[in-house]
Amino acid sequence: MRSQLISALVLILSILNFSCKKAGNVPADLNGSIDFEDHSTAHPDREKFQNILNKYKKDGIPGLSILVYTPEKGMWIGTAGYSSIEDKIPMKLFNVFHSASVIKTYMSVATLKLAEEGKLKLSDKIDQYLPAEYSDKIANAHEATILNLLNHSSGIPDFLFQPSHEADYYNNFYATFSTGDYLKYIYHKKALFQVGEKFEYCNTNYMLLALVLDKVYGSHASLLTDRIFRPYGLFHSYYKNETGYPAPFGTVNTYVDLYGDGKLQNSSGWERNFARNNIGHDGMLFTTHDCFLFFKALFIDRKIINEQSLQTMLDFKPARDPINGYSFEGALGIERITGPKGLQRIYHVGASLGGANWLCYYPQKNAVIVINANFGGIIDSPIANMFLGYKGRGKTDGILEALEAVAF
Amino acid sequence: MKKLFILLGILCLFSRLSCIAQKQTEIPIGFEFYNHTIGLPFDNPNKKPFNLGLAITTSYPLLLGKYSKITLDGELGYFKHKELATGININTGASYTFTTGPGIYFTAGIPLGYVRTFNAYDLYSLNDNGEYELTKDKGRSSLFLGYSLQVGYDFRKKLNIPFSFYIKNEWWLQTNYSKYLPSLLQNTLRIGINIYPFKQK
Repeated sequence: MRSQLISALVLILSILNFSCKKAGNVPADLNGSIDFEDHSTAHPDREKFQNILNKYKKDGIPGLSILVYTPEKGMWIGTAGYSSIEDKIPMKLFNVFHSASVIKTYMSVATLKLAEEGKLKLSDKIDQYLPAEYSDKIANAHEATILNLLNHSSGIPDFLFQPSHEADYYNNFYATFSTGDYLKYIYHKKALFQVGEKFEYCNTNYMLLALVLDKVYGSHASLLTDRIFRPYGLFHSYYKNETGYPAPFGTVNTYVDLYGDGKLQNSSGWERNFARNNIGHDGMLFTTHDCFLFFKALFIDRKIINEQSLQTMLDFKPARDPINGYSFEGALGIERITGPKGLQRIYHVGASLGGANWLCYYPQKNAVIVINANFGGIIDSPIANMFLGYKGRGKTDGILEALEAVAF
Repeated sequence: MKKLFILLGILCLFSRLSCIAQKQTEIPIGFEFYNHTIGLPFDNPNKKPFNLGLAITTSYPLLLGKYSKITLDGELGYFKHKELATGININTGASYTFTTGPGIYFTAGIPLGYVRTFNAYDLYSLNDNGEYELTKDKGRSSLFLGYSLQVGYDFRKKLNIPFSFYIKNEWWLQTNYSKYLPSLLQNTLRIGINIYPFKQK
């Protein structure tokens, strides 16, 4: 009788399985090479930059990679932390990060390229490119133009933050969603505002833009490959078509502080599945140096799109009210913060469950700063505040401000 | 821990009422098996993947009529959501039940409880040297409030067997969940049986 009771207890405990947790980590690549000249060891500010990296790694960012370029001092690139904290694999320059929303800048440039080629007009209504089901069931889809998608003035609701979507996503981070599945979350939802009324950041805009580009070019993913990645030497940028996607060689493990209490868990599988599912607004991967090559070609060398297109791209409108002397503006797949001392940062930020990114161009300095990290910046957490926390948000100075203080 | 004491206080308050009503024959012991999902109120409660949930339940009739009753409920439960957490819950609540002549019954209830959850994945915390290391997950405490809707068949009515079975949709709003997401909405689709161990005197 006693042994039967013990057996029953063991059986119950094994079914309940309290202690068996998932590790979540995926194999991380140890050795890779870089295919660019790196003179960072000769950079005059190398120690200051590395100290900043080390500080933020010590403060809790699991792994990060930073590039600072100024015309006077050239490029410095460095890393700190780990691409896998479970296996203590150091972050290296060849490591590949998730883009989160930074892809929107690439999508905007690709669209402007097609406009230059006469394949579309920014004033085209999007309903001429979208399946009728989407246009009929999504608010403002008959009125919005491609320009409204690009500069977030469509008023179309954001599928990503619909409570029903958030519930389904939290229920199964490994679920497969098609673009149609995502868009159903905003069917028959009220428009956020009238088309063109204001700037309001919305992920649906760039998902619909991807569908428009699919119609115009055949595949928006191929458009990015053909018009941006290959011509400008971005051989370590990956989006749908490239080998190994969504986990090409060098892809980092990602981590998220789900409860905002400073404890991390591995989110690599979630992040990779999210990349696989989503189009246009998220889902790219890249190295830090490739990000620099993109911004250099776009803003410093000004060779991806012509001057007129660049002016169109940078037609900034107020995005939200100024805070603490910082003003915020949005344009076509790009935003601008002007600080109290007049320093302008033209940028896109990325934040997902496994990615945190800053791609910044400083027009007054003709400089670029890129920061990529392998943690989920979208969750409000101490490390997210460190990473994203610029004064204008009412939070503490972040890593970007520390780098700017040294660079400029 | 504070949340647990609040809940125990509420239970003590109700226990006084339970002393007044001596209606032991209506006290069931229930066993429930369920799918635990994250969902909005009245969302599909049977989403995939299947996440196992188990519960032991009971109730005490505060008011008892010929066809209807109001009960004070209790539950001890366990669930294992594959991607989020393993949880243990203890809850009370009140329900209204209407039973038809043939024995089909309908119940609507308001559960209120305490849940302690243990993360589904390993957690890493920063040590004094600025390095992440595997940390013991002591769990997180939350309270929850929700609704339950149940339809079942009571075999006592026609067959005089002290047994009933039912299906139940119970939904909880768990709070406080995290800084980013103050509340987590949980949906369960349950199959359960009640046995009535106390015989009529």
